[in-house]
Amino acid sequence: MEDLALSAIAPRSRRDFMANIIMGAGTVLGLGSLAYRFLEYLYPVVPPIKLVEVPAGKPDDIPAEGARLVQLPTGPVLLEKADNEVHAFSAVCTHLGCTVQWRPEEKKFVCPCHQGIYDFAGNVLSGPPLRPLEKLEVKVRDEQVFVLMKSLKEEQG
Amino acid sequence: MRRLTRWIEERIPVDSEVVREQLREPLPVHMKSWIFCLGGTPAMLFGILGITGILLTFYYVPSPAQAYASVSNITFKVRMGWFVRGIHQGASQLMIVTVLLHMIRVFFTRAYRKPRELNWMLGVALFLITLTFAFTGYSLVYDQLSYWATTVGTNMIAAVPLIGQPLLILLRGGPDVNPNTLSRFYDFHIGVLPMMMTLFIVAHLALVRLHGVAPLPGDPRRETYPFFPDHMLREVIIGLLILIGLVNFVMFFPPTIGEQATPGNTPGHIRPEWYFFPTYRWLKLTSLSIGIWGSILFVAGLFLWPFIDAALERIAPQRHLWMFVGTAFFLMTIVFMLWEAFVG
Repeated sequence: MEDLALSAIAPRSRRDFMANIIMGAGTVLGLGSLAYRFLEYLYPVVPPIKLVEVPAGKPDDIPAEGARLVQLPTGPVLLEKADNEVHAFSAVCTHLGCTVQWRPEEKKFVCPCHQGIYDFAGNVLSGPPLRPLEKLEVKVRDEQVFVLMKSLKEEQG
Repeated sequence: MRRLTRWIEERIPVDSEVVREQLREPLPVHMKSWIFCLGGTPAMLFGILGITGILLTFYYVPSPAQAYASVSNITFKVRMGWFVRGIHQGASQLMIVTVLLHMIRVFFTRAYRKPRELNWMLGVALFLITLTFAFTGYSLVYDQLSYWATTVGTNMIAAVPLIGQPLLILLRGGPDVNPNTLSRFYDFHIGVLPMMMTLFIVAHLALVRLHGVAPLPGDPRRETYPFFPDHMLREVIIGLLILIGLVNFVMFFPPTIGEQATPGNTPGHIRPEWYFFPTYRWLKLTSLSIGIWGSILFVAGLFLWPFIDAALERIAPQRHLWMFVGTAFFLMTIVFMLWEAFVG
């Protein structure tokens, strides 16, 4: 036993050295693959993204001036009217994900987290965001507004 | 009595003389100054946080539907719940303060230089663990601040180059903030981080012991005094003062709770806790990629500071470049913090 232990620490021959390499590599690979399985377990299953039509109220509820913030199951949405047409934006700030708010006195969308400012058409006016607010496709059917949004949850499909 | 001692000594074969010798480790006299006792305080606070933290888990429920109600229950209904939560919250704030003060002390006495570079790096790791503790901790309350801090904080991770997106999904347990996120943060807060913190504290202290306390530059005194009981007494005094301070603070300012989290509706005035003000200000000033890269570089610079210091010394010996660079970054951080605190 003592001999074996010594040879494992300080190999005395090429044969010992090779044995150490093989046993070492086996241990690393074995434990490594185990760790990889654990990591896999931690990585969540991401359902595929789908486009869904989400009802978002009546066109008459949208003010003539400014925007209406509606909370949909797929996220907060801003609805506005321009030239009698309904437009929709995702209210999620493109910087770090807070919800933007309409400031009627300034006629701008302002993100309260890092002062990102967008105009009525969702374009960045100032602040840290680089991209405009995400424009969403809108359909109006039977006096009902539908917004096309990405959904992760299967039950909403 | 003697038989009992012998019985124990036979079962635990440690020479008590060796233990006594170790406890009487001689320390240089400059350690008698209170600013050199700051390192022990975060360790004591970690102990207080551990005890109160375990107590909090008896009533806290880590699910989005119940988290807020359970914290509210702890704060307003559970007998002495406000006290336990208040001590936990107060100690966490104080821990960040004392870790920062300890780092500032080590920095300006240049105690991180060869051969103590690794211990400085362990210290920076402990500082980052402390901040992660604080961040995951206030995420658990599940009020508006918690929810939006979690959203913004995890979105920042997504902006990290290469590994950002998968890391984000791994941390949140899904592509957006969802019920998995809270259990993961809870797990980190009460399982992963305490374990890491304990290991790192042990390593940090072991290295301090193995190297001995860093000599104070420009201090010619050679006298020493023993760790036990002299220095130990100082640490105990600090510990007791902290406890008295904390208890009184909680009596006069019992903990409160903000509005319940409403996803999809960020309140008008929202800000992280004060210790994230510098980063917060920096993020407001810059575009996201510069914001993230700047933060990564800052942390990397902090980690590698002992080597940067050595390099600066080689470039311009005796010019005290370390002090100018260090002071500049230190002042910048303070300015960003005050700017955010008072100007907003």
